[in-house]
Amino acid sequence: MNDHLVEARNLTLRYGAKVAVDDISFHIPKGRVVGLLGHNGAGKTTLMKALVGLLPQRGGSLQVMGLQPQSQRVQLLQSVCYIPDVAILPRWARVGELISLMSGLHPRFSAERARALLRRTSVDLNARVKTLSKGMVVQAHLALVAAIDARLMILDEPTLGLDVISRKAFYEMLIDEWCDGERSVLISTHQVEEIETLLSDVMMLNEGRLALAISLEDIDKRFVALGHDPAVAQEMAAAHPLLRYRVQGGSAALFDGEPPASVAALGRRLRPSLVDLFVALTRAPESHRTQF
Amino acid sequence: MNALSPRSRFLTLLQREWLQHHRAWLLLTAAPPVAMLVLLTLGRMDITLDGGDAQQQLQTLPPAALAVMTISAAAVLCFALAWLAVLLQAPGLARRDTQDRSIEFWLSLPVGHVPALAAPMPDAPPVTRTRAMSVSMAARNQCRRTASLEY
Repeated sequence: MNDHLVEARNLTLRYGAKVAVDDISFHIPKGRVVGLLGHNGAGKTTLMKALVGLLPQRGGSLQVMGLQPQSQRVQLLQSVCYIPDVAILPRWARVGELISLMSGLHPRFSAERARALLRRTSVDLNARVKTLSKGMVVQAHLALVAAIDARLMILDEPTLGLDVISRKAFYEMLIDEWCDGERSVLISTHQVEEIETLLSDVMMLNEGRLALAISLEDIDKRFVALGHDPAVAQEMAAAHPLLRYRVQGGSAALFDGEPPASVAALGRRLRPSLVDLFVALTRAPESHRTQF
Repeated sequence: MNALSPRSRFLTLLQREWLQHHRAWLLLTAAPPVAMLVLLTLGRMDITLDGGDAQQQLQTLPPAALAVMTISAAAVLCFALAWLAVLLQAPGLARRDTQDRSIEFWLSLPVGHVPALAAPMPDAPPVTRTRAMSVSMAARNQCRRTASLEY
């Protein structure tokens, strides 16, 4: 039986007249934490909106939990949580009122669990959303969403504009209270370094095209970074690495696969960071790298 | 999993309307009696009568006519307040829940578009206006009926 929570084949999406996501294929199995990386305008938000049925697909096929997102949106949202952006809780509402409303609107929402999760934060149930700080609103939103017995959580830059303490608290709550090995998370963020340790997989979008979809384990197997002295920079450049960048105490070259034997002995192996890989694969739009 | 019937979800959506707009609703409901009270205590009506004994003519003014005048004035007041509410509310209706982006929160919940759009209807301008018109017309008809019975 197919245990993929999300299955996209040759998916094309438009944002207005522009093709925002262009013919991409990917799948998300259960129990994974997938990072969706991309520059502004790369198509991340469009893809996420399509996953929860808020945008129509213009080509290809898309199934989430075995359902068609747009035509079966209500049914789908019973098993999928979505946090579109920071601070979108209604400002007029009290946190306790939101719990009451969600109890009446979401069949898989547990008010008791939401209250229990909120007790671990500094958010008061009687507080109005408009009186909370940005970080508290995000914490409250995550607590509400984490109280839904869903299988997939989609987070679109949930920590945008938050300070480091709030971001840390958010990710701690996400991992501790929601991820259980069966549920999956798709998260987009620009703070790649912060979530790198949380991720099991990564997808990189570059101008609507999928530049890379890979597990972090496979990144280590497939990509090789060689740290080297500036004296051998010419030789490294001649081997056509994906990216050359500075590291502490010298330079490094990032290769897709094993570096040529001629240069392998000139440097020492480093673990390529997600940021370096992201820059390497998306920094030159003119090169239009497509699926690897 | 809690089983939620369409009816209970709709009632929750109505509860959301109440939580969001109850101040305005209460204000609108309280406005006519308060306005009448103010008019009663501070208002003054000058009636000019042609010739004769003014006091006597006032006493002979039929009660039904007085009732028609009073209820009509109240109906017009209600109607004017409803229109005022509509004028204040209508410009922001299209951008409802959009300004604070909470529309995205509501859209992330498993609620169909039809009940989500239907729930605010009792408060929507065309309905408010129609409601006010119905109340006004009913009041006027009642006045006419009372007046015709009187004569």
